[in-house]
Amino acid sequence: MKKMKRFASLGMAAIMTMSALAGCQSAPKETQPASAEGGSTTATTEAAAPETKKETGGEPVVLRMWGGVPAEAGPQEACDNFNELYKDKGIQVEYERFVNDDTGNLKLETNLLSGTGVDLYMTYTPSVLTKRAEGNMALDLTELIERDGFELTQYFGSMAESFYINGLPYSIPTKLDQYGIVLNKDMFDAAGIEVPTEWTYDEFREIAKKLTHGEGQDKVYGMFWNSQQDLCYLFDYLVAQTNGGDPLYVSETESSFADPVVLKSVELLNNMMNVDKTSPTHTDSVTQKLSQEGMFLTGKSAMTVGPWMVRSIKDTANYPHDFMTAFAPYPVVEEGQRNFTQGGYGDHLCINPKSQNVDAAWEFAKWYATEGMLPVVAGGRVPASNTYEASEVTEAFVKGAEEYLDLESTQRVLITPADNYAVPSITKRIAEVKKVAVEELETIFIGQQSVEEGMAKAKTRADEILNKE
Amino acid sequence: MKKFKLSKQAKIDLTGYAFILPNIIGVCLFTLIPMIFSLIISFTDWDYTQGIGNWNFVGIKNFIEMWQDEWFTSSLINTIVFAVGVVPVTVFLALILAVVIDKYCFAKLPIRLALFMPYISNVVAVAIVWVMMYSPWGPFTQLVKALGVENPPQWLGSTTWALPALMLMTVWSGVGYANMIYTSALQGLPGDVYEAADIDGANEITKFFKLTVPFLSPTTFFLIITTFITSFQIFAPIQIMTRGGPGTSTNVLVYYIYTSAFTFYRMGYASAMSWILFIILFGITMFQWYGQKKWVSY
Amino acid sequence: MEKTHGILSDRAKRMCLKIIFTVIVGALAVSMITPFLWMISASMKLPLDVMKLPIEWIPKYFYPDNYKKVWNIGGIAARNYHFGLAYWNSIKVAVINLTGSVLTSTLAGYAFAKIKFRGRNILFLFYLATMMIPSQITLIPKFVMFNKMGLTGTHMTLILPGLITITGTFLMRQYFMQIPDELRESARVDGANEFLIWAKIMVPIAKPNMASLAMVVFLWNWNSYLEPLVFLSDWRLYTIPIALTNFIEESVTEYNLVMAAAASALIPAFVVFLLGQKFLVKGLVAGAVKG
Repeated sequence: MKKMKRFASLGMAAIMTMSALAGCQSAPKETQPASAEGGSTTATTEAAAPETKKETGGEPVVLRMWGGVPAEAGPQEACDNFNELYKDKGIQVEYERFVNDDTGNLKLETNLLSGTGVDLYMTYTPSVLTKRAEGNMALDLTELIERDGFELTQYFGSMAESFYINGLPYSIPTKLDQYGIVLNKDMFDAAGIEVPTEWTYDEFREIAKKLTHGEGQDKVYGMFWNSQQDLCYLFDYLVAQTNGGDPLYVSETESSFADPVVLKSVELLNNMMNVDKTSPTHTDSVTQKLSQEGMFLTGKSAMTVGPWMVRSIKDTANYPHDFMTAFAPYPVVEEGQRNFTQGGYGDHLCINPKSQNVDAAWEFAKWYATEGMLPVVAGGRVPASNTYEASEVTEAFVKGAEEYLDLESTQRVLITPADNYAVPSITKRIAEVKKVAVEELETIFIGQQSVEEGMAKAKTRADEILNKE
Repeated sequence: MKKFKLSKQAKIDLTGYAFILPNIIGVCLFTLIPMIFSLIISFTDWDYTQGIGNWNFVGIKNFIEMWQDEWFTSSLINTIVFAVGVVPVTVFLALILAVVIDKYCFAKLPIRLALFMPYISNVVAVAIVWVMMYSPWGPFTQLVKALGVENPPQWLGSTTWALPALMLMTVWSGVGYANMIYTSALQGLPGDVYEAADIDGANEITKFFKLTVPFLSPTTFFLIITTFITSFQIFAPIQIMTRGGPGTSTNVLVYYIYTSAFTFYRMGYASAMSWILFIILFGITMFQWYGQKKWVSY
Repeated sequence: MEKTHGILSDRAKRMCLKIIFTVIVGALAVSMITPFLWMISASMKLPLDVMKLPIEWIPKYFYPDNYKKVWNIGGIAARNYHFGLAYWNSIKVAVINLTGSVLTSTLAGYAFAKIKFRGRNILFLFYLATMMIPSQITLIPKFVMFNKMGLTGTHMTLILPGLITITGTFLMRQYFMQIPDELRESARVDGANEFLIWAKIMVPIAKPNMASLAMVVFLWNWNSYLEPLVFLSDWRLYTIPIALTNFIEESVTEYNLVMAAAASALIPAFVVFLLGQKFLVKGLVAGAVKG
């Protein structure tokens, strides 16, 4: 009996030790040393419970806004501006950066599903937007729009409706996405080549050849197809200009991998990497972790894909360079095939339906889309809303880089909106279709199968996935 | 109070349970319950963005589909190749090293520390360092060149060499741990038995095979199982270094499970695959468990 | 005289053998740390020198500013990665978890090895089985659970599951299996109960093994990648691997900085290990003397 008691108490002791150990950790928030260093300048943050309503006198509502852009590339300044403006109205916002890749999005989504920690967030691609809208991770904005008379078409034109999901608005489009080839104007000038305003694949290839010279460590490439990141981007951009917003699809049940434009595009990439050697090969890209900054901004390539590099181009402290950068549209297969402008709206600002502060979040979203974006324009993001003056946008865009950015081509390619965007409509099993494409493209680019073989395989595999029940 | 007497066995039972209680609670909460949850959803078409409960039961459809899924079958083969390559090399190398260092080396401590360093290193840091090691200008490629290979392979950029390159890195990072476990076990070797063997005039090789290896067999058993299981679950280096590529050459099982769940959002399917992984590992462990009665002699 | 001579030559032989083996194993050991040497060398270089061939093991131009940038010292960094805070978080979580799990593993390992309770083998097999669950798949269920318990966004998500380790239990069991039953039997004759036997006899003998286990658990926690990646969304809670992943993703172009960050993440683990190694060796020696 005595023994039994002992054993029982031993068990208890063990549990207690466990919970005691656990106990001393139960309040990690308090033990956090406050961050004294720069970076997050919002002072009112941490402790504020998300439930606090913005009723009179209480603690301000602290919104948590998640985005994929580094805080210092504009969002922090935008949030600071908002906080200054709204400090008497009881709304504050805190910016949280997630890296826009699989794991980053996973983190965001697990937070959205659990309903904590996120009030607003950015979605970067229409397929993900669809997923989130259908998965109850984005709030249907219909009611709020009606309540405030904030018609999206009034600010963003009829293209806003292209980004409705099942006919309903789940996001405010904030950014105008326009794409272009980034080029080293000094190298073009030296070679006596005009900055192109229209070019075909063949012309593009020839120009790349002319710009390529040198050997080994000193080689300068005509082009850098940044194949390390996501191989699909590369041909997406090329193909969309001719085929429209669904470069991967012919229909819901058929992939586009047998389409002549797709094949031509893959051939272009393959030829430049492996035949002309005017671009580093895919293998080089992967094994050396080549980056656009490391290639283009150090003068090792005359062109690269873009325009997301604007941020780095302006960051001369980290990427010192002294040449002028200009932009050109992506080339098309043949003359007269530029049926669409690739791009459209991006940076879709969504509200977490589980947020306790929907009204405050909506307030911020409206402000950000229509007034607050100038700091992020400086980071290379053009606002979608028509409430901004074209001149102030251009000015902010090139600000601090007047000597490095060619004003005319910047404005023409990246800032002035087009009227024929390639808007995506099919997202069926897109992650799987993309994975198939990436795998076959990789095998093509490292020289283990021909373009025809590889794309035929991609077509069979992708169609099988699309037709699976 | 009536006298209440427990049988002897009951007392022993209670004692045993008391000792393992904290462990059992932890395992139930953080492994068993999530496991049951994942078993349930492996029979559903759950897309995890749809929230809990929003799923349809689809019977054993997931378990059938995977065998027609090239991604799954190729990842399974890659995983087996990976584990079969990594486990024996790691364990054998560690055993030899432990014995040799223990008996025949000066500067035991610095050598052991050097061997163990990779294991204690952060996998993220290690992975990124090895990407550089394998790059054309990296030390590993330069070493291979210095050894006379004129055109060394593009390790991580080659469908043939990417997996072996990852295997080499895994052996490199795992051998120190196995070595340490062996070293620790060697301290417990019964000296008198060795003295007796010395008197019998046994040479070192005989002593190694007749005494050391059998004595260390429980440790070897432990190491084989754990190394096998960790090899089968390799994930972080794949995610950081190759993302399953080039092509499907380094697409291993856990990476595909992760992709299915978090890129394709097919949580049900991913759970089903993880259960297959579980069954495989369980089968192998059982096999070794019963096999050890034959070959583990201590 | 002849015999003495024989012994001497044996000794000489042994010495030779030892030197040869030391050289061979030493060379292997050096090759094991080559990646680290290269990492440290690269972390001191200017960006473009990293890729220079032939490799400059000792950089021509030392550039320790890389570390200042990573650590945000002197305000020359483009952004603050909060490495110091990440260290603190990592250490906190690792120390709590190693204390808890060494205790629970030693208790359970002993029971599984020595106490013949009913259902022991079944339970142990169940144990082994759970070791094989790929952690990726319990991830979402765990997340949902933590959410229901209101623990998401705290370190408890790493600590609660970390207080037990199945591998540690297995290791301790294997160790206790090797300890002869006589020790325990004689103590029982003296009237000690199971807990006393555990505390007074088994734990002291097992100390070296507990020390090894403690180190291993510390390192597991220090290096744990996927769980913190998913469970910790707030940078204030980030542990080292996550802080490092963030760093790599944002500055993959600058190998020198990445290497400086990697070195920063590794060096404290090395320091802890070196300190722990002394303790570990002491523990091993003490155990050997007593045993």
